[in-house]
Amino acid sequence: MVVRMQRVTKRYGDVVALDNVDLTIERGEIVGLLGPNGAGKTTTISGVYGLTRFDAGEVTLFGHPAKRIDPGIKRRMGLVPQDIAVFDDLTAGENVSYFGRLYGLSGRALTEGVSFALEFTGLNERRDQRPKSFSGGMKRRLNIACALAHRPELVILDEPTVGIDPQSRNHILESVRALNRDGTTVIYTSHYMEEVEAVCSRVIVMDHGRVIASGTQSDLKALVSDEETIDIELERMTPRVVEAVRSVAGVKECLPEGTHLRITVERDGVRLGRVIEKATGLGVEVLSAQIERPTLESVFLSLTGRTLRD
Amino acid sequence: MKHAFTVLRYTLLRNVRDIPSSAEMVLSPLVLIFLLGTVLGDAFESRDIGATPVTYVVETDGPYAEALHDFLNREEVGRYLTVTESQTRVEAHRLLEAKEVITAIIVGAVDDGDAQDGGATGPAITLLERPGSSLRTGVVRSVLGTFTRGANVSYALAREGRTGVVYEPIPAEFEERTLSRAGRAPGAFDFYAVSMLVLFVMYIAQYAVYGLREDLMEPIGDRVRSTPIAGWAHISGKLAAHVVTGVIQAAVIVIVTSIVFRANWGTQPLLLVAIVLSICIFAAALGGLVLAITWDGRRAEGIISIVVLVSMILSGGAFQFTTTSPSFQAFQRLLPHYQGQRAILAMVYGGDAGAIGAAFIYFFGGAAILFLITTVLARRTA
Repeated sequence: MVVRMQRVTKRYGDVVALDNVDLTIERGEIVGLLGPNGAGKTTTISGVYGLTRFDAGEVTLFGHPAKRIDPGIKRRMGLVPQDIAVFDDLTAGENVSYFGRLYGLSGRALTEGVSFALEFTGLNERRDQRPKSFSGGMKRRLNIACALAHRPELVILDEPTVGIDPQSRNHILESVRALNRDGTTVIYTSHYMEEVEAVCSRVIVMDHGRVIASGTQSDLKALVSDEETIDIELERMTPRVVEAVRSVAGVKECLPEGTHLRITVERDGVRLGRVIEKATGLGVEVLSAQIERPTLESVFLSLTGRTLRD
Repeated sequence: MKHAFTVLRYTLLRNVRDIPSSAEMVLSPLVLIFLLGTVLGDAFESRDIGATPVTYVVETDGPYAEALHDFLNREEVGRYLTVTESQTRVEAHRLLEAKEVITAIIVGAVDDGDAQDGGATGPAITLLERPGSSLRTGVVRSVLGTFTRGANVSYALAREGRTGVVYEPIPAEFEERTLSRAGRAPGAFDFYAVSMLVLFVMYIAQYAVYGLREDLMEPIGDRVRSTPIAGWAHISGKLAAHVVTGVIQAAVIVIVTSIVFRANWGTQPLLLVAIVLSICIFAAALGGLVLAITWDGRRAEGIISIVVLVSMILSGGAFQFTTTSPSFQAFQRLLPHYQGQRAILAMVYGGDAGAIGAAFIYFFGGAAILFLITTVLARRTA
């Protein structure tokens, strides 16, 4: 187990930032901390890192109590802060080298670590340039590179894609997957549910300082509903088609809306091809078909009554 | 220690690349030295005040009166005093009121009271002066003092039984000696070069605040604190970088003022470097402490800019002023600008060596205490 938090509480005055939070993160996972702004995600990871002292509860890192984090434990972790934390007057290479040295690297290990981090984030060709000339996406990638030179076992990325272009976002998401393939455990906080869906093997949903749900994406979606909706657009609508589709096993409801059929089925219980066969068998052409499955957004909406961006 | 050197090295690299700030730190004191040295230069120039017009009235007889009369009319006294004799006090007063003389010397009768008490007896000498003429009256007082001391010696020898003792001043030429070891009297540029150097070096405190604020309180602070570096190593590396930068920039100021303004920096460059280094260390530690107390970079920078400026003014760094208040003088000794300025001036002009030692104790000792408190406060606040 890499991280374990038990009944952790943190207050800022009257505001409860974390309320009896329990969570565990196993080696090799990509865990997404999902929640709106102010949910407690950043406070959680700050506490993991020892940057914030909790008022109550216990945290263990790599099996060691994290009250006073040993430098040896810190060397096994890498933090990518939410705000870009690099020096504008040092080059990309110098930035990565500086933080690599602070993590204890020197000599060949430092040289290799810096090259690895810059290569990994696609900045090797820009290593001698200063970040002030970088785009927002490149700065974000450098922000990540500074946490990687020492090859940490656990990387914490706090909203690493805020305010960047889709290309850089995709690059970062792919980097996170690549890190994980190399055996790195990743904690990924975001309020973009698409990102969490794209990269995380497990999701912890937070709101108002509490963990309100935790599990794989399928587990969470199952919390919302055991049904799916299939939307079929037909060349023309006929009563026989509606009856034929209704007769398919697992179909709970079939409602015609103009030339569209909205079909409610048991989750994973009906094959789309079977439904299409029924319609085409009656001589009606199917123009389009779409399965609407629950998203993490709808999970969050269902659990909290709010959207992630509220 | 390795981590502290890493922070020192990379902060130095950043400081070197921050050309606008470096230029500002060097040019600002040079501009101030030029302005102050030019505008207030007259206050530092020595000028010939000429002979002081004096009148005197002798209301008694005897050898003292005769000797004084002879003394005041000697040729060498004429270099300092233009003497006219008045017959009465009324006449002397009239000359004073008519502004024809600066001072009136009244030599009265023998003081009987002193004689009855068995004390020394002699004529009572009174000096009347025009308002606002203390400098010239001081000249009269000094000249008259030499006569009185000589007369006292003659009197003492006569009391011992020596006969034929006559007061006879020995002709002597005054030798004017400057304070400067380089043979040059200190002028405005010499003074303001020292004062502005100390002022600039004290502003290292602001740079320390800026550097620490960035590394402790801004986003980069989270990243730095997430690394294994110890708090003391981080702070000391950061402050050391600003100290080194400050010493280098101070050296540039010293060289430029030596060449451009011909400012006198003495003949002991290593001692000068040591004094500047001690002030830099103190200033950096002061910046760290103020930030640790306020935990607000802008407020800390504001406080330091005021404290440094007020310290300079109260130390007499902007314009010289004298005070006789013992409590104010004691207060001045607590001010860093006073200590730094006094130590450098003592070094340049061969003044009290104790002033240099006291400054080292003040700056190094103070810096150690401030750094200790800063480290404790920074850890607590973080």
